[in-house]
Amino acid sequence: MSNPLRIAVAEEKGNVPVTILHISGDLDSKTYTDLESKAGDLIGRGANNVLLDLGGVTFMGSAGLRAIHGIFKKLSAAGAGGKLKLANPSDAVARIMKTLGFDVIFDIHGTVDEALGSF
Amino acid sequence: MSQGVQSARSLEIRAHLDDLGRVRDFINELVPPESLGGDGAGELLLAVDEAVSNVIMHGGSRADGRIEVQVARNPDAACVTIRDEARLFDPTAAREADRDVSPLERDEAGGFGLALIRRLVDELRYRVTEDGGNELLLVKKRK
Repeated sequence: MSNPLRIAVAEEKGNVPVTILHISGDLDSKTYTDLESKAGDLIGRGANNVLLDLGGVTFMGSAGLRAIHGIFKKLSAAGAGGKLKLANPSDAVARIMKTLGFDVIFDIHGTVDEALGSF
Repeated sequence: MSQGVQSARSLEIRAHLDDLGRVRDFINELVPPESLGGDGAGELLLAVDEAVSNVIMHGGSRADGRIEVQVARNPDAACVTIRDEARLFDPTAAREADRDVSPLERDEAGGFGLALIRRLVDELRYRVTEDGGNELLLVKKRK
């Protein structure tokens, strides 16, 4: 059963302020722009450290990686030294990242707490 | 696919991203998780999603364009055939994004779909149909 994409935003104040996007549902060629534009809005309003919680993602294709790539580029373009981290990928999502070489490029953590502690 | 072939079933969708979820539901129904051993079914699902996405996004289909997805199973493999009326494109011959260039150094992260399709299925065959359309066959064998 395909699932609509949902994105819930939370702010955490740890070592540094972190904006978390809790993503659930299918991240495919139809929905990836929703994630990219949502993150873009947040970065435009000053979000600097961004964590994508992938725990609720039920399907992700290469379009999901396109969105993550786009978010990375937006953070880089903002020029504030912001960081992008990923957390909680399912085995299937982790496999896609590994197949396409994203696993060695992005900082990927097993849990949100672990990722937050790494900022 | 000659022994124990089950009758093939087909789904026809519009060449529109709104119908992409229907394709995944169809594949999930006919090739359920665990049916090919390991995550074979999940890998086939992903490859089919990428192939249909490519047709919709890059095929220049007409607004009323249709895509047919046909699934046939036997105990050892699942075969998915995708037929469309989009611009002719042979995914088996097309060049992949350059993997020597880091994804972060690219202007766009496109081109990964083709790489995924090729790595996730055991056979990939393309032909132009008698009607002048594209036909792509993806075969995933049981592990």
